[in-house]
Amino acid sequence: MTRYIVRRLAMAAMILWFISVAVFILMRVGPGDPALLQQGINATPEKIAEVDREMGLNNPYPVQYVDWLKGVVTFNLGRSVLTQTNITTEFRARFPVSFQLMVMTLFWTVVIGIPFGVISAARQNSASDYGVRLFAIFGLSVPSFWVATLVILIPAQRWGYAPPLDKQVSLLSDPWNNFRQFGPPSFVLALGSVATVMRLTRSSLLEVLRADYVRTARAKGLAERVIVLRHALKNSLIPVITVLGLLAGGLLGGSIIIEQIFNLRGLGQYLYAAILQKDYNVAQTLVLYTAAVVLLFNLAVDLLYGVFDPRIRYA
Amino acid sequence: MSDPNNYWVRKINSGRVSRRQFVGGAAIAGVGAAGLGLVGCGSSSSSSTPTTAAGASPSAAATPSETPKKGGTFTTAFTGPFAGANPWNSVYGGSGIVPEVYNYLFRDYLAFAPDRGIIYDLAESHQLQSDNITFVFKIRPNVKVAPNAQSIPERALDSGDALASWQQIADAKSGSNGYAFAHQWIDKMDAPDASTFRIIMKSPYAWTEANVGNNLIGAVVPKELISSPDLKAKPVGAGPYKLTELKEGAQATMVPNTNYWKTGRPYLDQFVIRTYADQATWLAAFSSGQVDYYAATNQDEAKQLLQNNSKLQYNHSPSISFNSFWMNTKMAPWTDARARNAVNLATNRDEYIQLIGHGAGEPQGPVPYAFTKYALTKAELAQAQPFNVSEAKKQFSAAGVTEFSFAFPTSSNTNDYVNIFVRQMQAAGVTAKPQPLDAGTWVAQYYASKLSASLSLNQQYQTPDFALQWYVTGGITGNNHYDTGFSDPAIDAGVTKAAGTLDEAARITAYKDVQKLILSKSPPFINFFGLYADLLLSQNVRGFQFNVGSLIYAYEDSFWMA
Repeated sequence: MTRYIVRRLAMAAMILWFISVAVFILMRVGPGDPALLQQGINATPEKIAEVDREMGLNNPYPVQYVDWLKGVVTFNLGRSVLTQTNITTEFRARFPVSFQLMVMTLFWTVVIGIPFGVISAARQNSASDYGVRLFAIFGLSVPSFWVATLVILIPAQRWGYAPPLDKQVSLLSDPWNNFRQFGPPSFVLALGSVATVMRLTRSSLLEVLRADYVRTARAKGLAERVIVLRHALKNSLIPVITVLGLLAGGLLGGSIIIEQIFNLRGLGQYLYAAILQKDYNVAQTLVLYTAAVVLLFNLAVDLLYGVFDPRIRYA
Repeated sequence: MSDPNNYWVRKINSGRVSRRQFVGGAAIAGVGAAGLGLVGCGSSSSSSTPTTAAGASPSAAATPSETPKKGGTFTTAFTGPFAGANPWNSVYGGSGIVPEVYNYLFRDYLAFAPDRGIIYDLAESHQLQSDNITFVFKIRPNVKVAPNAQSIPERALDSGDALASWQQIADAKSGSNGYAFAHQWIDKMDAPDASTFRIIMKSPYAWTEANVGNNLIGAVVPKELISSPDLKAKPVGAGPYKLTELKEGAQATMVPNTNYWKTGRPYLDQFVIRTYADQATWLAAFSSGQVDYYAATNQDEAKQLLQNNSKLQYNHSPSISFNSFWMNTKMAPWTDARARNAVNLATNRDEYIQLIGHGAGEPQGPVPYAFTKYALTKAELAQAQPFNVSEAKKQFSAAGVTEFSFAFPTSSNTNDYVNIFVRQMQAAGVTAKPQPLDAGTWVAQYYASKLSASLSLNQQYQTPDFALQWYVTGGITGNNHYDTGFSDPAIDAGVTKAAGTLDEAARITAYKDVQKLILSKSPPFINFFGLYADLLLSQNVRGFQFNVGSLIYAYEDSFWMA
């Protein structure tokens, strides 16, 4: 098992290195000048050259790359080209927002997706099954950004209500307003994953319910509820864990559109602005961070398989 | 129930919700989004902050007997980044902070609201000497720097500060918004004594005061701050407010400068500027009372909001914003004057006004219509800049043009113009191919004049002279950036002459003449139409001056919260 983990970490390091090179090159190959964007439309060549010097943008590319990578490894992430703010400080401020959004989205996904998937499988081809499946199709096909815009605009226009759209409200100091702020965006974000988990739980559970041991359990006279919840469900959750793990990894990188619409100062919003403004330092760092998170979550999910299914062993 | 940050408290206090509704609403609100029923151009900061101009705008409601009240928080917003608050080259949201924190020799509204004229600030008076080139500013005593943590002494500003600031403005390295003005027109500046500051022009220039009083140009900064690394992120000035917090991507918070030279002002306890990434978010925040100011995308949206809440204050007035089409005369097909002229002939400005302006807007020549007397009238434009599709077809054909490409920035309201533009060119027998570019790429290529043609973002110029710089040799910045490559000595001479004419009647004639000359020479920069600004305020604001005639809004120290 240890060798497996070490091997996977080594592979992850190689993949991250590859991604770091790719994002570094892509940011620089694309047209646009971050110094010009920072200085505005009246920037003079002298001023742009000065900014380039200050930010190290006039160094050869390999030097810029090594400097950046050194900073990443030592957690000295440098400054944003556009705003001159410290990236580490900004990251620390924004990470909790994306983290909370991720946790709450997973919460909705699990508490809605799994139970309704179970209901749908246990009452296959009933009215409730069709209802759940219809909702799943809606969740999968309707774009979340459209739902998000409606969720924020309709209450505002109709009833003059909107969640707090100013500063981020702390969960510890004001749980109610924190819920008002994070509840709607996390629910909107969860729509797609709820639908996925519902359908996956349903199909996986249906398969397990056809297994021999379940037939045996029925033959022994066990209640259907006991069979489903105690015997079948655990085994049907393995693919769901995969999806949840991948979802968590992706969400921890930030949800760009939802954070924009609900004005949540998370990592997604930060990354989006950085890409648009050619803010090299921020964009490169956040892309690398997102890749690292996805890789680590993938590894964690694979290891969890061994916990849920004792038959799985890693050499 | 006294917490003003509580949504329900705000609603009850504003009279929009009864206490019975509050009790019921508390239960419903707990359901959050799940219980509720299930739509900008957001990312372009300039397009989300249209400004007003030209005299007709009233201030916000205040009965004659109403006495200004001290206290309260005014919250405004915009879409886009702050990108710091450099006093001289901010063009993003930081330019909303600068006029609140710093002083200007005066604030000038001469071009837009002559009835308001000049409002003195750091200068208590000024004079143009008999040589017509020397401006003498008398510095007001006791204009003191706000308390601050940057160790800038809380002293009175003097002429040395004005001189140091204007030297920065005139320095090419500073990349200031006022560099073109200073470089082209100012000969020298000095401070013969602590209370006297002088600007000596190279030749008479009619728009000196407009530039000096321009909130994007003329901020006076304590000299100790000028070379400080804190200049951009931690501004310190002697203006009505001091900045206590600037959180990029979130908000800027300002509180009154306790050393402010106007006793008893400003009235507010707090002035907050928020930024939203999305126009819909700003709209939701305004509709729910979380911000006090909203710039509607058009008058229909404004009317909708008024239907929902008739107590809102609404201002609909001419704006200095407009969009344009830019052609690089060093690249085909724009080397041919017939091709350039054909674009102008094929442009039906009324269609833009109907579709984009929702019926509100004015066709526009080289000088924005918001400059009223300096702009060409509709009748003059109809003659000098006619809409004539068949003639456009002929000219395109004569120039051998069957198609052309043009760029546009995707993160702006120019998306709205693209479809209309393509269709109108199609009607003239030409295929116009749009090339969407992200904002960063677009600016870089536009700056370096690498584009062949482009739809151009909102333009907002505070003087007719600046607007006409698109047509002179060297272009808008005077040093070939964004340059169309166009050059005509007669136009250069005409623009210079108009700007140097101090007599108003003669100046108006000169501006009209040079515009007609420009339009006769197949210009490479054509304007579509002038927008209207539809601005809304919450009912709690009093004494607000809508018409400030500035590039981004510059709020004054004279309004208060009821």
